[in-house]
Parts: sequence; C-alpha cells; structure tokens
Amino acid sequence: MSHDARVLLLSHQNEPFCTARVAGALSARGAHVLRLDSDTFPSQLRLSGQLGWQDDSPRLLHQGEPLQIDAVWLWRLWPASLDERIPAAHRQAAQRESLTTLRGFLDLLGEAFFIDPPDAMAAGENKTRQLRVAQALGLAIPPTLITSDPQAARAFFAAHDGRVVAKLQTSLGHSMQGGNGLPTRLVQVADLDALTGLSVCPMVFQRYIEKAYELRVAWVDGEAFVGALDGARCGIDWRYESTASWQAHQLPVEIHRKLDALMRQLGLRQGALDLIVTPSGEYVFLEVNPHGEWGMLERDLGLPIGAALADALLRRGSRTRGHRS
Amino acid sequence: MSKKIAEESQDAQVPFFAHLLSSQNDPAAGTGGPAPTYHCLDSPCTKKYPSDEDESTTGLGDRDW
Repeated sequence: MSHDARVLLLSHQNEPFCTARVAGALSARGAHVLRLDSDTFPSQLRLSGQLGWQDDSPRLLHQGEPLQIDAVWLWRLWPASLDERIPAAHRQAAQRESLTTLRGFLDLLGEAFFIDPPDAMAAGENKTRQLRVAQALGLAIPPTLITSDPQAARAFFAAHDGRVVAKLQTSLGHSMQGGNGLPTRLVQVADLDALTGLSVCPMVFQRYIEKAYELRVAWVDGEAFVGALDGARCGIDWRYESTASWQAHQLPVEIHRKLDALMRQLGLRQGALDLIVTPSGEYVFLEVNPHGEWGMLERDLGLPIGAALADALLRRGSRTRGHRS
Repeated sequence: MSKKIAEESQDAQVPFFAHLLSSQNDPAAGTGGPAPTYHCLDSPCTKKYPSDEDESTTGLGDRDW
C-alpha cells in the first residue's frame, strides 16, 4: 500500500508529546505531515475558506494554496492565543469567532478521513450515554446518580453506606496549560448539608469502587493499549493523587470485545477509557475521554500508540483517497 | 425569613462542587507524601494531569457545535 498520504495533525503549540509521536510515525511511513497549531490561528496561521467563488468546489486555503488532505488527526482545537493587551471583551469575542471559524473550516475537508469526526467526538463526550451504552453491552458500571436533587443525593449516600464519590462532567475552566479540573471527591457526612448547592449545579454521584488496579486504556481503531496503576497508591482520583508507576496490563478478551462494541456505538476510533479492576477481579467501566491523554503510556511503557494512530490514519486515509481518484 | 431558611438560602448559592473544593484538602496540592511520579507531560504542571480536561474543540464554554 502506498503511504504517500497527506495527513493533517490539528494540535496546539504547547502540546508536549503526542503530536510529535504521531508525526514521527507518519513520516517514517512515508506520509506527508502537516501540523497546524490551532491556537496560532488567526495571528500566525493564514487560512481561508472559499465557497462559490473562483472554483466550483468549496475549498480550504492554507497560506493561499488549496489544502489537499487525505486524513486528519483531530487532537486539539484550542482557542486563539491573542495579545493580552487586547481588551478582554474584544479578545474573548475574537477567540469565539476564531474557534467557530476553525470548526467550520473542518467541513471543507469533508472528503478526508477523520480520527475522529468532530460530531462523533462531541457525541462521544456524553458521559450519561457512555454509561447507559456500557451497561447495555454488559459492562459493569458503578451505581450512578446524576442529579440536581439534594434529597436524591442524600438517599444515594445512605443507600451506599456513605461510600460515594462526587464528580463533574466538565472542567472548571481552561487555561493554556489545559483544563482546570475538579478531582473526584469522596463525599463525607459533613458535606451533606451543602448538597443544597446542587440547585446551582448538578453533579455525578457514584458508589466508590474498591480497586486493585486503575486502568487507562488508550484505544486506537480497535486496538487497546493498557496501563495499570496499583489501586492502593491511587488515592480517590489517580490523576491528582497517585504515586504509583504504570505497569503493563492485558485486558480479558471478553472485556476487550465489549469495549470495542462500546466504542463502535459511540462512533469513536480513539479515546482514553478508564476502568477499575476490583479486588475480586471484576472490570468496572468508568468513562471514556474521546481525547484523553495517552502520552504517559507510550513514554513509560513503550506502548506504540502514536504508531497505531499513524497506521489507522494511513489505512483509512488511503481508502478515502482511493475512492476519490 | 427564619435564620435557618436564610442560611439555607445562602448555602444554596454555593455550588456543591465549590463546597467540596473549599472543605476538603486539595489532593493536587500535595500531602507531604511522595510526589506523584508521572502525571503530567506539560512541564509547567508537575502534579496535575490536566490534559484529560483539555477538550479538543472547546475552551470557551461553547459546546453546542
């Protein structure tokens, strides 16, 4: 198979690892790689969309030249990095407009193969849907209550003997260092009076799951690359508290099969899945982040995730190119 | 309005997540134990692992696309 495909990588200037790994793997396979850092639009990156003008077919111009792309890796689409001296109201309006313009430009690459299409990524982020579909497929999930009702939250807390965690579905804010997240918290009796605050903002409550291991599964087009952390050293939220090191882990075939079905139903070829392995060996699905981080698994365990993404982009992108010619 | 109701009304203005943030130790702030060993690939961020919240196509609270 010819691998002279033209592959666009959408990222941001400060993305520290993954983009370079995918780019390197693509280049090693003979592909032509174009990395666009979305936060440099429009201050440095010159893009134009032409529709109904000069050419019958709508097209996207990069630095004045038509952009011909076979496959797109949509990793990060960040708001514009603009001069802080621009008044805040103007800057925010400009960032909104720039991001909306970028999203619109992706439509002009409509024949290219995407990992993953923007609409699929947006739909795939629906955590309620993730849990519903996972359960329907036979995956174990934590008992879950998503609510704005303080009484319902109290009842859930009591029903699970006070072993309940609370979490949000979105980040608290955003900076150029990434999102500002709320670590998953164990709810305590002393917190119950404050549940009235659910009338301001709903939350997700789940029974705390005892853990032998916490898993992060980097999923690439049907392949699973798994890292495990010692559950005893993870704290409540391993992203913030763990002192464990990643270790290799193999998913049981049946769990792999169910995760594959889940990702297919969610319309995702890539994603970072979080699971817990209980002390009794049960695998409990928590969630999937369509653009969750996997760099540490490649860095620390040598898992060839960037290469797998390159192969998937070329495999599918080549088909797209073949259909077009 | 009774004092209790007034207090509840005031409490209701504090989102539960904000209560959790203020009432419990921030696990990301460190507890004196061993430092997390691997979380973050971003050099400015040595403990947290923000990339999961780094939504690919949002950042301005605009998710309706």
